[in-house]
Amino acid sequence: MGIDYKKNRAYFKDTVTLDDAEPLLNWLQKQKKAEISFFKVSHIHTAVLQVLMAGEFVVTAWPKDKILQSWVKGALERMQEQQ
Amino acid sequence: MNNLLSLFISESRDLLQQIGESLLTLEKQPGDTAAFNTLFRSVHTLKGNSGLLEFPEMTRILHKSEDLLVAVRDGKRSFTHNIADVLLDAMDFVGSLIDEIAANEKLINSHEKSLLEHIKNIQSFLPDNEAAGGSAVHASTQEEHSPSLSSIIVNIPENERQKLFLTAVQEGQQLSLIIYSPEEDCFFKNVDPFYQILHIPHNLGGTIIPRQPFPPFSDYDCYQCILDFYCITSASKEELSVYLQSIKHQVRIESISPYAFIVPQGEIENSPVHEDFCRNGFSFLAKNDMDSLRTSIGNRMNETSPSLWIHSALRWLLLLVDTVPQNKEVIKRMLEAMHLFEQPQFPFAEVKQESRPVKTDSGEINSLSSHVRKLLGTQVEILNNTLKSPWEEGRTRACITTIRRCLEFIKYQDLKGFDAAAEETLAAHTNAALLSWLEKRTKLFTKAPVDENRVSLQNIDTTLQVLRVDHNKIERLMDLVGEVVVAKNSLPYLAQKAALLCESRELSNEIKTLYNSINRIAGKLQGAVMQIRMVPLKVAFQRFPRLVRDLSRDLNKKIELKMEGEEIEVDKSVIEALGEPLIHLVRNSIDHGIELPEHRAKQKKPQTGSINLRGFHEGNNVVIEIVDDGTGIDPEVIKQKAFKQNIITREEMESLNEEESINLIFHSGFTTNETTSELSGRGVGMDAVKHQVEKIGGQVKISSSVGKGTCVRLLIPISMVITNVMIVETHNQLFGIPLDSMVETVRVKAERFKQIKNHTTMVIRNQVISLFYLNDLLNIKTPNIPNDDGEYAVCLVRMASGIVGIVTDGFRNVVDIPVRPLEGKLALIPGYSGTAILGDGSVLLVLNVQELF
Repeated sequence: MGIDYKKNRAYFKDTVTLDDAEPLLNWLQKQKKAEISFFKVSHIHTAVLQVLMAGEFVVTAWPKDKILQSWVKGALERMQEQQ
Repeated sequence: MNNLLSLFISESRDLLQQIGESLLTLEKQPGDTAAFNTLFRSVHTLKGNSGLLEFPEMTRILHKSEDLLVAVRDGKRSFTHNIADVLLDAMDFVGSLIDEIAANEKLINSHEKSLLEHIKNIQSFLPDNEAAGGSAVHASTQEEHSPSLSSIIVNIPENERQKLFLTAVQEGQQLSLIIYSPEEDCFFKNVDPFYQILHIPHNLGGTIIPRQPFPPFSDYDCYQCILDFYCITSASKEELSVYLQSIKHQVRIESISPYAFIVPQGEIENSPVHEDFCRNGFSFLAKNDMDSLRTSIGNRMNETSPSLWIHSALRWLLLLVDTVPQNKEVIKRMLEAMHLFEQPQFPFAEVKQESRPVKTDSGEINSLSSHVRKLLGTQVEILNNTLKSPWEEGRTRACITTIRRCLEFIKYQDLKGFDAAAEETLAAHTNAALLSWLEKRTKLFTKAPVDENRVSLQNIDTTLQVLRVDHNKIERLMDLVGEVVVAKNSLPYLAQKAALLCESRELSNEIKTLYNSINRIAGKLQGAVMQIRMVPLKVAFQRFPRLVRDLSRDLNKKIELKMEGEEIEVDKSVIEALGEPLIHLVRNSIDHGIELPEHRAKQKKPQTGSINLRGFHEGNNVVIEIVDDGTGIDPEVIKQKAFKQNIITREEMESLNEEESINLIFHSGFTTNETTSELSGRGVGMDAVKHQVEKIGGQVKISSSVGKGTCVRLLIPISMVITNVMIVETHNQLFGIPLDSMVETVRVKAERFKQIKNHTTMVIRNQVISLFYLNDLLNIKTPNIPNDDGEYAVCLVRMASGIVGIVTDGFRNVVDIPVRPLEGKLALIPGYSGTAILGDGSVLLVLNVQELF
């Protein structure tokens, strides 16, 4: 699994796959103040990214990979602006 | 006509034939890659050839046809019947241009109207704004959820954007925006769109936007993809086509200008000096004082915080002044936008070469606009494609001129180096030197898939060692062979003379020995030259797939054509003579034979009728059969029609058997059609077919079964050139009767002649044979005479109506001789097929027994 859940914080690492989408959704639905760290992630599956874009949480760290950071940050910040 | 033009016409006709065949194949099997590659290659080659020979109308229609083929190749259009129709029509138009060129050595009429119509027809199948070799370029549509281009661009950091802008402007780099809308259920198909987007070649950045609002989080379905992806890339259209092949129906690609990168960012904050700056900026621009403008920008930048919008805009303005100082319009628009603190709007335009190339020590050409790059790329493609044709040097010279002009345009410095490579190329008659020079200095050597196929076709041609020879040369060679045959035939006479007049048996024997040797060699030479003239039946058959396709569609019939024995070879004169008869017979099958699908269904036949064209050997002849499974010929109907048309009497109508009834269709003027159609029904066709076939020494027979179909059988000689002829004597004159039409020769005493209804006959092997005196047939007033034993020399010959006997004064020998047809007014005289020269130099008239009666 590409996501480690510790209390109200989720740590994304390596490759986060399709199988991680539903558990993430369930976790976000239960959290009041979710936090997510993307620092160690190398790839996020589209289904997971979609969950992130639909959900509400605070980003504690963006992906270390600059290209991935650009895309993820751009997508999530755009959603925040619209909300 | 010069050799080059002659070769062009010949090659163009071959290419058009290939194109036609490929189109018909693809119509039945759209997935046939080999046929598509042949089609594409043929159109491309024909286009290139027409351009070289400067026939612009032809080049334009072929170019547009190529655009459509590119659209099909790239998956933007499926190959349909309608596309086949429009391309076949376009190629027919090209064929008519070729015919005009062949007749006049140039195009003498204006074809603009037809050309535009064909182009318009092809254009209607093209995706909007399609260009050859490119992806679809659609005008941006402003749908509600589509982001603005600038909102996508800003995801790319500014310093990155500036570098990309510089590269794109200086090198004429193409930039594209990819809009990818994955299918909703793509996750179930193991597709990860985000991964695909991240790995697009030369990905410059982009953004992700949901195409519809997200549902409430509590009801959210995470397995339904509702995201759209927007990505900017500098990958070439070819790279993108390959990479996006698997998702091509979910992707749109738009070309974008590098000026789209100019998106100032930051907090907007006005300043008291802003107005002065802008006014001064416009003034310096108007005076073309770039140094002052540059200084003003620098000063303004020092006064503002780097995080502000104005500082970002100043950075872009400075870049424009440094990079494209000659483009006043762009700089003016930037200033105007800055003045109003608005996003600058630049026209959506093709990227133009904005700067001169930078020459390095190695003489590299590293700055090319897209136009120059494309032009140079085409010249490289042409130079790589060696044809080994007489006009290759001219083509190479044209390429050299074009390349030099391109180098002059981009102000390339080392033109002397290029000239030296060009000279070496022309001197060595190989393009290696020039290609090597270009390869070291440019990056123009990526080959499109069609080039590989062209190379493989060249390899196949080399292996087959086909030689294209003007048919007039073959005719001349044939004539010379005929003269050799005649000349050697005089040697036996010489041998006889030597024995009789010179009383030298030894000399006579030596001449006979020499004759045998020359006879053997002449026979082989004759055989070899005749082989050159032999062409496969395929040449006669190849027009029929298109004919059957077009006519069956016109008549709303479904017809399948099968052809067999195409590889069988016959003399080219036989092929030429068979052309019109075969067309008529096939048209008859389509028009009169094959029924409409609904009629066939009622008769429990397959809705698709079949026409079989078969060729096979039978002795020294070739048989061609045209067999259909149509309605057949009803002998009773034929008889009734013939009677009504006064072709036969009532008595004949009642006495004719089935075969004789069916053969009435060969009668001139006979027709069963109530009305004439465009195809047939005028009653002259079958008569002409029979006449034409018999003229070449052949025969036609029809057999038919009502409701089941008809078979027309043509029996034709393999060669019409050298003929076996029996020499006969009548009234002290010699005539030749072709052995093909002869059954046997008999000597018959006068007592065996019987008169039946004032007509001379005889019985031979229980068969009554009509007899005709050759002198009567030739209008010679004296009667034929028997030999000393009271026997008449009778040749039994085969006629369409049966075997008849021709009574002569005597038989001579059998010879193989080249028979020359009579020409001019003499050709109108019936009864003679031609003349030949005998060994003693005398002229022999060869009879056409079919026309004697």
